[in-house]
Amino acid sequence: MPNQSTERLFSDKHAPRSAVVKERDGLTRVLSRQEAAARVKMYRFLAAVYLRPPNEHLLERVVDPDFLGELSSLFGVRAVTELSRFSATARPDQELASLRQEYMDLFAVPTGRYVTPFEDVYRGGGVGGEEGKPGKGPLMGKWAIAARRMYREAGAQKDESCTELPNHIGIELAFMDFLCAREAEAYSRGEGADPQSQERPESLGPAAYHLLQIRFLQEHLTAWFPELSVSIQANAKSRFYRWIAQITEEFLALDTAGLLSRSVVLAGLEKNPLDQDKVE
Amino acid sequence: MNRKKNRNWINPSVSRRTFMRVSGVLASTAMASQVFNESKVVASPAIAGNKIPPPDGLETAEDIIYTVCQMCHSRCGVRAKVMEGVLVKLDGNPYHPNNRDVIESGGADRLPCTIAPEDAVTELGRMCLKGQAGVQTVYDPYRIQHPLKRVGPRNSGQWQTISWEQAFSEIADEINRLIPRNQRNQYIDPSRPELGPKKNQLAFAPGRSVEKEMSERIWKHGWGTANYGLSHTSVCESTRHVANELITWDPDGSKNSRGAGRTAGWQVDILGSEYIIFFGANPLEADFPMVGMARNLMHFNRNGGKYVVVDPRFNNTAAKAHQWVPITPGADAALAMGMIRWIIANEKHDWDYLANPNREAAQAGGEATWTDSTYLVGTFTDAEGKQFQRYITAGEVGISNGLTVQAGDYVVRSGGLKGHREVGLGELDVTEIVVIDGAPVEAKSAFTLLEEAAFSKTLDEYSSLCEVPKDTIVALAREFVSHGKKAAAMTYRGPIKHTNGFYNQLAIQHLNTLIGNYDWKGGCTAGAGGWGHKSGVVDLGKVEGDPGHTGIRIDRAKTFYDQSEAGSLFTGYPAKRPWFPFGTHGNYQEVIPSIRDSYPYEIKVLITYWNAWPYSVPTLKTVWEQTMSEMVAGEYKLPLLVTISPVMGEVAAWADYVLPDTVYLEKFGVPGIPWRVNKGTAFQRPVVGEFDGEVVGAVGGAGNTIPLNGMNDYTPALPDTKAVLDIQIGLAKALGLDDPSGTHAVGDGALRDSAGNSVGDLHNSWDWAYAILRNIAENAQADHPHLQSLSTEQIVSEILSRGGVFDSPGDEYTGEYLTYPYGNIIRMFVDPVATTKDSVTGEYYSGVPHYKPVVHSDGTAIMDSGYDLRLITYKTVHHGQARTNVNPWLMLITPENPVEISAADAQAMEIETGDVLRVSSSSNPEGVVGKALVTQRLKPGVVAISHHYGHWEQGSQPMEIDGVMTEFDPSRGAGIQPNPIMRTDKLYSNVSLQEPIGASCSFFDTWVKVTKI
Amino acid sequence: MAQIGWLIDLDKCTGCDSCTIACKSENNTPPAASPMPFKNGRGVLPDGVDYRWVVKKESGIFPLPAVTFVTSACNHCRHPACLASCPLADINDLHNENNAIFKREEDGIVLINQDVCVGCRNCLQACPYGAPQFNSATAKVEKCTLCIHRLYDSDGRRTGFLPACVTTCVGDALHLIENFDSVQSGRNAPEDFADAELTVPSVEFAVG
Repeated sequence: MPNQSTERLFSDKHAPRSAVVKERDGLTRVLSRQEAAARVKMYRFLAAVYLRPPNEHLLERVVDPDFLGELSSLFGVRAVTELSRFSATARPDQELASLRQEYMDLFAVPTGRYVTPFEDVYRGGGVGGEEGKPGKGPLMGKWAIAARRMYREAGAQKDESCTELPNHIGIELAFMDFLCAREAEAYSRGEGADPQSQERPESLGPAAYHLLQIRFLQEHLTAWFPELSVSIQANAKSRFYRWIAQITEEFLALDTAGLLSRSVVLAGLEKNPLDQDKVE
Repeated sequence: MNRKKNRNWINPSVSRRTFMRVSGVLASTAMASQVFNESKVVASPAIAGNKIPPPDGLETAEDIIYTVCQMCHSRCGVRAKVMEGVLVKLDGNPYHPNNRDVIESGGADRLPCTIAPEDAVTELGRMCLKGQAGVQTVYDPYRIQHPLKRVGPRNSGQWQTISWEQAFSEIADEINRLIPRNQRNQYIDPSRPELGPKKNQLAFAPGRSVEKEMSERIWKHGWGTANYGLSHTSVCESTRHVANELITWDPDGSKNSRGAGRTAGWQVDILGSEYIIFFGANPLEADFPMVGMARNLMHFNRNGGKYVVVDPRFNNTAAKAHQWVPITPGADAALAMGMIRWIIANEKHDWDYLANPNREAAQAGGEATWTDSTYLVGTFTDAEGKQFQRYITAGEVGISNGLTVQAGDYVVRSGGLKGHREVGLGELDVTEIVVIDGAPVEAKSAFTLLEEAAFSKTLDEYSSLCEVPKDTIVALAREFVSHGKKAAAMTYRGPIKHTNGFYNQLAIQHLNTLIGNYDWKGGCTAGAGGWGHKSGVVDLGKVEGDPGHTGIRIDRAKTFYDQSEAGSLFTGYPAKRPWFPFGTHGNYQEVIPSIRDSYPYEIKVLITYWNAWPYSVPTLKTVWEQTMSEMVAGEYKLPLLVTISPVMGEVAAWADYVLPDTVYLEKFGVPGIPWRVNKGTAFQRPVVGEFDGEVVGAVGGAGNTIPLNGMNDYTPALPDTKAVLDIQIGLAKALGLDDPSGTHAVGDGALRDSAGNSVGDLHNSWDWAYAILRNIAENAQADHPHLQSLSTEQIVSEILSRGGVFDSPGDEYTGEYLTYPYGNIIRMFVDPVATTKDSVTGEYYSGVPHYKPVVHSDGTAIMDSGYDLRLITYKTVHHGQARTNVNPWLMLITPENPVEISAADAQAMEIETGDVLRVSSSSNPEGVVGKALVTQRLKPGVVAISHHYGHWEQGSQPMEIDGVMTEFDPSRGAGIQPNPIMRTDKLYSNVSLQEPIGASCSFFDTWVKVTKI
Repeated sequence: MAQIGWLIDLDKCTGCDSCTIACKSENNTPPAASPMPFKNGRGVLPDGVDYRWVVKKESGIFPLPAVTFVTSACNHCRHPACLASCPLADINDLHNENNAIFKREEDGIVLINQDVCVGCRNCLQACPYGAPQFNSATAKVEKCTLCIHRLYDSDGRRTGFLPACVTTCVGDALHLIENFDSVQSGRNAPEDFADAELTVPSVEFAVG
């Protein structure tokens, strides 16, 4: 359906320009809002996976074969292989306790197979460690400072009930959740797409949020998650967490690429609304 | 993956629909909740095109927070630079006398408190490398981030995280099960009431406790155990404290049943001095405060001062000294007594000072202190025919008149026998027969006893005992008495941590007494102290419903073992385990062996804090492991071990519950300033974390003060850790110590003034800190003109914004005197000790300093044939105690510690630097294995291995869990720890050699063998 | 223009290494956190970058051993050997900031431009003092910057802050000289200090 609407838009070359733009804008906003809302859910899920141990609902869902099929069409076969193998052998009632212990070992207790899921640990290290890999950095440092600055700039305040460091992978993913949620709201408000807006944060347009998302993904998340993923996959006993690491990495890459190309599209539409060459 | 990477979200209908469905499914697993809300604060509007500003930008006043360092025990001031709530840099506090005092020419360098912090942004204080590395302590990736509960047997390395609520309630439930409420006040053993009630079977063991007032409030005044504070001091320098307490003894004090000391320590006023002899003290690397003392010593050198280092090892302090005197370990009294002999023989002691028998005479002579040199001491015989000595009183010799001479006055000879308060001077050399109860008693002045002790050996004999040439002894003595009051002899752990450490300390300290340098510029200071924090507005120790405590401590410290105090427990010599009636600072090394022996009783609950027992205490590792793993009828014999620790240290690894507390940069406290001539109270406060959700150090946040009108619930940098004050409060609440009709240690209205009126609530660490701050404010106001017109709240702000309150630069001297004097008696004869029999040998202790050899507890010599080298250990400048293997910058400089062996010994054994050596003792023939460092910096016959290294926990080794190796940093465990090879006592083979009076653990009396592997 | 230089009071250096660590904390030089990185991954030599360190030299024979302490860093030489040896720096145009190594005209501070440096390590060989250090993560060379980011604010004005090492020196041994006179270069230098005529380092020592 979205495809159809797009086709209809782009085929309607001879309609009056402003009307076309308005209608296309409206449809784009609807689609974008839905998409943003879906991205909210994805980021919210991913954030939660790193912030707390799994529950039985999650296990039930992920072992469902239809779900696996859809996942593979989205993320590719490799990303789903681990989960498929997990599902094949897992029984939620038995698995849950050991998965919860696995969560603690990987993400909560430093004498376990702890992956220190903090950005500065992966980026703040400096000189070579084993086999030329960078050494580890401290729990907090300049990346935590930079992340916190962005949270403030975007008008995001961490809820009191949430007790993690600002550069924890779960918090950084939750920030993407926040940005996508604000983006979705912006569409609903029907604001313009002016990234240069000087208005209060509540009334920033979706393009401004896109910029923030791209910045945060490029300056933070995608700069370190691949290494965290390697660490999780090396330390995880359970295929479940290996799968989580893989789809997180995959999703971050896809989302970044998608945002970048959309920016191109938006910019292109602004310049020449009917120029199809600029549309991918 | 590449195939999919080029997809965008706009076009592909399949992927978009699927994506929405998938994300919906995942999100609906109900795991998630919102993390970020919209901020109430308006953010910067200029978002697009914003560059990331440099995180380490230049600081403004808002980014600076003052607190106190605890990377060692110097407790220097700290200036923390905090950006966006992240600690970026640490430096010294320019208001604090440790970090700055004077410049080389003598002018003031320290900032007076009248300078506002806004004007002090570019003023930084000096700080040593350990303090600088504190950033790595906060952000150590191996810190424990949540409360942990053991899974599987003790020390198996398996944990689950639990909430604080669960931790507090489970621990309280366990405690209530092990020591039920209705049994708490019943006797442990009704036939032995002296042991006390069952609540004594809960012990709180803070290795170090700067939050002593809170832990005493909970465990002493709340729960009511006699074991409320089993702290580390006896492995530190307790004998030094105890010896100093005994020479300043006040019979009306109450540390034990005989009295208490007036001060625990002396330090030398370096800047005012001309000649200093350091015995086993290393201020350029250790001692405290290192930063202040090191700077002052370099200044002292530049201004023509000379200092000497007496030590078997040529440490950094020796490297900058005028002279190094290598000495046989444990023979310091021989050197000091040799010097005393020469001084007295050549009449170079300050006769005028020593002849003053009382305060008035002293003051008339321009002295702040006086001595017991002239007081008569009699030799008596007890019921068993053993001889002992004690002061003679005026009443006994029949000279009291109830007016100028009271019955309890001391007796001096001043043209006949007189009371010590009725004359202006007394004779020093007195040997006389007096009549007491009709019997003749030989009486000598305290000075005569010291003299006789000094003359009991010749200089040649002393020289041979300490292996210091006679000429050197004489030269030291001659120089020492050539500077008037501006000379000092100062100790730290070197002479003390031997079985004879008590007499080493006395002998050395009395060099100062012979020249009477106490309270003089350039002489000894007892420390200027500070403005009180324990009372004022709030009386920190006052608990409504305080149950009190009775009974004997598990370490049998501060209790005499005679019938009146120990009942039937003591059954004859040698005691089942030794007693330490003068162990006023406890006996840390006895606790675990005593628990193992269930003597004098069993312990059921052991709560530790900042405690590294098996790592830090000689010989303890094996006993610790045995004690913690021993089972009785399927349960652990010590059923509950709760450890408060920020890292998985050597104690935490064995715990049932690990409660992660915060590090020193996230705490409130009043740690004190060690023995400086400047007066001050430094205040420690968190520099990172959040108060009521406001990030400390963030722009627009709390900045460098804490709003005084808030609840100020503190959330640390690692949000699910807790400041120890909050842990204590949480445990207290879970144990029901918040009961207004019972014991009201915490909770609504729990804080009280000295009269007992309720003056505030105690729910969190800020409540406590604010009470402390108001006390300091009230006590300091009168001495600070610029605070006179301010309200208490305003003074509190002043204290917070400068990291404390201090005197003004220059206040420390009044003419040639120290402004803040000790101003009381110095005793050459320590009467309470002289009237006490050792619980092992049954012999009376000597009341005067003398050379005593190093022996086992039964008085026999240590004969470990085949073990011919003497092992010593020491502190290096790069590390602080047990806690700095977590700081990579500190480990970087010297990644591992060697076995240091003198060039002469190495040559004889054909050892070269780098050779692998086994160092073993008769107590531990397996020994430790390390790498040799051949050096000229060591006296032949001595082998040295530093402390700080050789950890086996604290992130240094992997655990194997289900066949998988965990992450670890082996470099944290690099090097060797000599404690496990140190000598155990012959009689009490599960504890180290000990010094019996001050209860010190011996660190330097082990004979070892070194073999090449 | 004026050269900023060092005055090192040899009598007062206590060998505590506080300058070393203050510098590391100020400049965030590695290793940042556990686990300790090692050179060549062999667990023997820690891999780090230090802009300042303390040279400790033992001499003498028991019972008269001796140890001397000399704090050491980049000396921001008048004729920097690092710059002369750098293939991407023109010794005849030494103030040019596009050089991989350049010397500032206004205060004589010598800096390695991280955007240009390719990590050839010629300067490590050339410097008599060991100041340039190879960073195995960036594969470039870095060294002491005289804490130029502390001395100047973003508008190029002097701030009143001093380098981290000078600020923290426990013995009061390390000082800045604002107008270093190259005639004093190497004055009272300790034994084995490189001949000052080679590079004319902006450092002088004090004794007594």
